[in-house]
Amino acid sequence: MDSQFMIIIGILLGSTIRYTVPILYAALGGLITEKAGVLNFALEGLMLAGAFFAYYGNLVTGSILVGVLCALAAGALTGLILSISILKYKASQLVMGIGINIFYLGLTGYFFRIIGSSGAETMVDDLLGSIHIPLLEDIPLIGVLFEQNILVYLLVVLVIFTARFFNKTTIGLNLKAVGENPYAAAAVGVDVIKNRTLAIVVGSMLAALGGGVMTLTMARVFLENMVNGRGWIAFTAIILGRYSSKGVLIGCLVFGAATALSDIVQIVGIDIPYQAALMVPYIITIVALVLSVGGGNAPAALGARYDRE
Amino acid sequence: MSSFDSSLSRRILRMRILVTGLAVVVAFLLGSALVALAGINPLTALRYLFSGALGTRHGIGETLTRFIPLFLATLSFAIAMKVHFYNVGIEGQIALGSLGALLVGVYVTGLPAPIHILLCLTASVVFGILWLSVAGFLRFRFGANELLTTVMLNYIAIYLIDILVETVLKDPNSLINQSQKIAATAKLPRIMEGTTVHLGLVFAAIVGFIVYYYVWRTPGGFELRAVGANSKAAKYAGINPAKLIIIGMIISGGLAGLGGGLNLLGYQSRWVSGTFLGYGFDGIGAAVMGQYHPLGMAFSALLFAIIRVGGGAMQRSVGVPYPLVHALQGIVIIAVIISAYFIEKRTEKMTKGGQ
Repeated sequence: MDSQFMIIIGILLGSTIRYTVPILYAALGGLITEKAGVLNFALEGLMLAGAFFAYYGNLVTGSILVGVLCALAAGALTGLILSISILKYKASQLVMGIGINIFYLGLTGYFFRIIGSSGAETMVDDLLGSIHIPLLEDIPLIGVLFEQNILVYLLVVLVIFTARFFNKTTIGLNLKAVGENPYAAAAVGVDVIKNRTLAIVVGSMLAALGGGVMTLTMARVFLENMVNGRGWIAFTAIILGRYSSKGVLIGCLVFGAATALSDIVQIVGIDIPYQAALMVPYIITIVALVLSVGGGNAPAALGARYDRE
Repeated sequence: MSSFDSSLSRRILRMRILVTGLAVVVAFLLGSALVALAGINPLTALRYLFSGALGTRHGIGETLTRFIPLFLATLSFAIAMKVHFYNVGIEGQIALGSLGALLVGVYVTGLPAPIHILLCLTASVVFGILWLSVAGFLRFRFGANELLTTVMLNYIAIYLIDILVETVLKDPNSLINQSQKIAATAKLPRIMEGTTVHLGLVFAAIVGFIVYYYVWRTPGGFELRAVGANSKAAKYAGINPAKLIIIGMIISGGLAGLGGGLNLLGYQSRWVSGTFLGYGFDGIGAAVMGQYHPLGMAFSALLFAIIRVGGGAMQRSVGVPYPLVHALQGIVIIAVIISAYFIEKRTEKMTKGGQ
């Protein structure tokens, strides 16, 4: 193995992680919502909201933490609006998702232009520092995995926790119950509306944080429509991952790796139109959807309207 | 009895229009609050919105020009929804429809105008259908969820056209990445002097009527609606759901493609790399607002066209950033879908009260 090859592998691994992390946050958020029986079509808009408000919070205060909190707050607020309209006013989950997505496409672009910022002077200046894990970071090839920022490590913990959460904790089991059969769950005293609201709000916060990761640690600046379909890719990753957090992790990694690969193709100078490289994640998504069909494993009451008797 | 029924249904219709109108007013109030956040007087902004879109002959022309592809997008989404096919890929089908019209409009020459136009539009319809068929094929052959495949196909369509326009279709005499203009014989004639309104408006109106007639007034349309309402019962009645879903899909893709074709032949005349029309996404919102009925959707498509043109006027006159248009459309969609709940409750009450 020559050193050039090693360097390329290193870059590939590093950018795979960078591309995977925002999608994985959103997909985990979507997974929690869907486990409780509600489809979250608003992941795209939630990511955009998180991306903008994290950027803005950081811009105003100079604190990454405030940026993260702003993204979470935007997610929680949107999650509440989604919960009320879907659970109380029986709004279609798809239509609410479309509405939220169009709304945030507009709102974030509108606010971004109002604050009148563009270009380098408004960049997030203090990149979230990376935390080096001693010894492990020196391992050849995969050392890059152990010099990530705290939001990446937090995500690893979240993936592990989510798996346990749904199988071992009361709240997790209740969420699953209202996703499988809300009427049966209600009959044994589980509050369907409360549990679903919790799932939607927490899920929306995670999706928004995924967007926040994009501005705080990747682009360092907000760009209009910068999420560009990643929310939908996250949505697909949930199906590919057959509604388990481990599966969702693998699904997101596939997209991350594909995007990273299409980057490398451009960097090493293979002469194709840049749009062809940009298409890759979407084509991969379709191929993956076709290959994954048949397994299913979706919560039984996913997407169905719930009317309290 | 029947006169009583019709008076009740008239009252319900009036109530629906009233509540929906109220939701739109609430949405505009919220939009005004956003304008105020920018330090701009919302009343001034609103005045520019409406005067820009409706106050002048030119403005009305701009609004009607945008109405054409928007209205066809609403019809496309509604037909697909009738058979429970979630066509979120209208944006891509409009782009492909534009491409079809562009190819025939630029590279086929020497035809008399009407024939050239019809050939272009046929190409746009076929391209729209073919692009949606990709999602249709994946659903019927592999069971892949069409909502997601059509979303992905949107991105792929737009990148695909840009690649073509920057390479094989690039205008050799142009410095920027754009296609050649379509031939003069392919251009749809303007129908309102001093404006951009073109013959496509007439096409859109006729197509809207045909769709209405087919879905609500023919046995075929009845079967289509039956499948959407209850596919199991429809099966018992001897209706083949798969066949009707395919019919709905073909009409949906064709309508979206036609919208793209009309817009290209009547308004754009060429494709510039990086173009994002957005009619497909807006059309879905407008279809929801119009409650999937051609007449309701004509109104909502018109409202969305007004917001678009008025949004441009607000930006030029008082500096309201253009993306407010999308924020406002999002609020309108959410307000209208929530108002549907109150309409449902109220309708229940009115029907019960009448018995």
